Amino acid sequence: MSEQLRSNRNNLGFLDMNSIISVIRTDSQLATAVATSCVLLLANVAMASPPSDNTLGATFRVVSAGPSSTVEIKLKPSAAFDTVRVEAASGVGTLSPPCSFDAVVEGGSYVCRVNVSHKAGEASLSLNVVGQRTVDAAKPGLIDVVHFTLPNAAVVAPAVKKSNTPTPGLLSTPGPAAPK
Amino acid sequence: MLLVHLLQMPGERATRFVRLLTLISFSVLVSSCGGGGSSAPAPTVSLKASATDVATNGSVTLSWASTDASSCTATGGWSGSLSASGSKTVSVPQTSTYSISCSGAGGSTPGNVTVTAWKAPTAIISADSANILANNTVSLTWSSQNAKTCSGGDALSGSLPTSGSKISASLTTTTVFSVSCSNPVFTAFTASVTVNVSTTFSLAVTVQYQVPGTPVVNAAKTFYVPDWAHPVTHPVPFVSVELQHPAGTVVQQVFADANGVAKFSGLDPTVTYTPVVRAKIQQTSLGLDFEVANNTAPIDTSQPTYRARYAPYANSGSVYTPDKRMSVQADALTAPDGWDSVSQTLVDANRIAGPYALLANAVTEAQIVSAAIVSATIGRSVTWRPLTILWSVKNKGGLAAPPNNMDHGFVTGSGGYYNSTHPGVDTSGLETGATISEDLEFISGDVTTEPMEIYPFVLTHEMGHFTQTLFSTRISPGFDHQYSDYEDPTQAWIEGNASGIAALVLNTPQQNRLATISGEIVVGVYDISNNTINGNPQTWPVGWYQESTVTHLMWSVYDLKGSIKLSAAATLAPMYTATWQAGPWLNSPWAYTAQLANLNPASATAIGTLGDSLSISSTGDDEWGSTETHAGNRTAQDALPPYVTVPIGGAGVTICSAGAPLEYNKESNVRYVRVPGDGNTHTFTIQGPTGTVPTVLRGFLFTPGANLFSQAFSWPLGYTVFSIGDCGVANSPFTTGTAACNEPAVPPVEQCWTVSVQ
Repeated sequence: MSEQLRSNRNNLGFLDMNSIISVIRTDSQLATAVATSCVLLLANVAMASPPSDNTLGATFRVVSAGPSSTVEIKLKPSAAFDTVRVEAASGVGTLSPPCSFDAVVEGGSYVCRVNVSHKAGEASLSLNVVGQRTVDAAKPGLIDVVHFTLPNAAVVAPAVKKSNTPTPGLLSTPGPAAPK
Repeated sequence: MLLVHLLQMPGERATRFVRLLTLISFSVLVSSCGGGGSSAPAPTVSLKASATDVATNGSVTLSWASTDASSCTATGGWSGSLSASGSKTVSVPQTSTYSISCSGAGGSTPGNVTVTAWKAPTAIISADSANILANNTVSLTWSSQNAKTCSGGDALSGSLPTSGSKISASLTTTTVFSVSCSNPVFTAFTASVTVNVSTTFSLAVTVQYQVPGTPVVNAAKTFYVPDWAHPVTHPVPFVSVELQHPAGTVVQQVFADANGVAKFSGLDPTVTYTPVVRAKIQQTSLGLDFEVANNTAPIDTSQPTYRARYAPYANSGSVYTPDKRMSVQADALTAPDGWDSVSQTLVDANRIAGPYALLANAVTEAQIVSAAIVSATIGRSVTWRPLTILWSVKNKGGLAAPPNNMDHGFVTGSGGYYNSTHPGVDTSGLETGATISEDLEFISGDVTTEPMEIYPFVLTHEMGHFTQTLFSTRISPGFDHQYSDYEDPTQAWIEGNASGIAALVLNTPQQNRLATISGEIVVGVYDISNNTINGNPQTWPVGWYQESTVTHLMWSVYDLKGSIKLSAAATLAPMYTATWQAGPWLNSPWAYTAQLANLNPASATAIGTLGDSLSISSTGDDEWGSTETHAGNRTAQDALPPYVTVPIGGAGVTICSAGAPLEYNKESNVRYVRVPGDGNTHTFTIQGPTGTVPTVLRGFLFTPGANLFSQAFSWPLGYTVFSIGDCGVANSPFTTGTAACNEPAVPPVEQCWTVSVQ
């Protein structure tokens, strides 16, 4: 999405930009255009997410893709962890070999490769790299989880056009004036 | 024998005989007392009251008379010595018995009279139902106080006991039943009850959702976990509710009220209804139009807009069989959280609460922000745009790079974001095509990544961004950010403010984030008031360059345990004022503290002290951060002042930015420039070192491959503010962004520019 916007912007000549700005503001002077563009540009580009942690410094690389894919996981942790392991999350059929590290040190480099297959019919699979560390034995530990999602090219959603049928599941509690 | 003989004597002779006998008797009585003598007659007494029924505390006159008595004594309701006859007026505070005892030579004789004190009568009558369907009866119950008699009125006739019950006749029309109760003193009191009789019934459907209680430490004491054992329920305000006929047609559709109660009327009691709740709300006074759609179940994949492509969640309750007697009926629908206490797992198919929890929190936030806007700027209209929240139990982040696949629910990043636009979506769900303006929030629901609907921090944070876009934001860099980052000040403001709004909405500085570890759903409790996770201190930066500091600042301003204690509306107000809208400075921590102090002069000193303590120079500072001295993780040259002034016609000003490619939105990767304009056209020039590509507005304006940017602009009066930096650093959320820069070399960590306006 951001590339698309950026591409559009880069295709704009300065006059084009001014004409856009003039629609927005009556003073289409150039400097105003700069300032106003800032608003338009950055507000539109923004894809605001909640804060996240990646003290594991985890990065992923798909070494080979297919029905079974090989994913390389590299860690460059900015904190020490008691253990770090790769767990199968949603959509994973098989995951091998196990990948885990104990006594992970800050600033260290760690790498492993895992072979994963998609669960039948699942559009993607996800791997969780889970780091755990105990700072204070009297308190619950700290966790850092980094997700990696790999689409399943074999699953293509069919085009649909359908009605929205309600799904049961609401629990009914008739009131005092209603039949018991 | 003596008495018989006496009765037989002639008069004169008998009289003489009595005298003699008396003398003898006296002699006997006096003799018996030491001297002998005869018996005196016993006294008689009569006691009468002027009234036997009086109002409480009323007066009554007691009259008495006696014979053969020398004195009387009052007891009971009165007391004291009395003469042998007389009268006395007494007050009657309560029902009393007045007694008298008169004594004479013949002994003592008692008498008494009872006076009843009455209060005004009251009566009450009720029916076991005030609203019934035709051809039903009601049970009437009445009671009274201070009444001696009661009688029926209207549809309840005849003499009645002072309390009782009765079954009515079968009713076909609205009927009034009355009871009148009275006593001898006061006028009768009449009470009535109206029984409304209808051929149709109304139904009030309360919609609520269930969520686990606040996190608790798990049994192994290793993690916080949701308190599944103690779920709580909350109403879903303004949500759409409909009743469906057994044939599937919609009989009625309404939006619930603020308490989540949807009211239907005119319903046929012979028909069964299926209640259906749809995850969309409409609230007219604020103009809210929010919906939560299932993006992994598209209803029309030919549609590129989310509102047309995806439908709001729709969930039904049990078939409602109307009561045959009551014309006002109620039902409650609870969306369960999906926790299975037996398997100790979250069952996706049962996670009905998700969309409704998201809706309810979105509404709460809209209400709080609307109130803040109104309080900040009298008369400012609050116009909300429609918002589509995409949530599914399959939604998750973690995709390495675009395109996102909305129909399949996987996206880049954390899996939770807000945007005011999105690309079109092709028939397979992939993002592509033209940009579409449509406010959206994508919220993850995949249990193994992060089920964001369970605790509402992410939703409320993203709602914060939505409100910023609508009402306050001028710059929003966006994209990935962490509490360990040193951030651009506008980024720190935007993200920290979004979390600050969330903290006010949720009324807690704690942010609950979920993850699944070895199959167990655990919670990371982030507390921005003391920079801890699960109680463990963190080394997050503290200053204007870190969003958690901004959140901490806002929370401390609002915190009832703090020293400032501003309301939520007052805490949010600075970002909605006309000054904020018109100010040439950007949204930043300095702008906030300066405006907050201006709006709250009584707390200005405390606000300054608070900001200073958080490494946001605030005491005496302005919206530009002119006195800021904290440089974060950069050198002072690379970070301060926050806005560098470049005068028109002056010598070139050296301005340094810093950072490596892909450090978009970090501290100093762009520097902010202000040019005091003169209303004329001048050439703006940025000269960078060889190999760099200077850019204006984070990649908006640059010359690909060139280390010189020069362009003529007209500079209006007042300050014009913009950013400059290296294209490869400032334009790099994704690698393709930097490609357009065509940068000849990797930029140095510190990039110094000569900037002039001539």
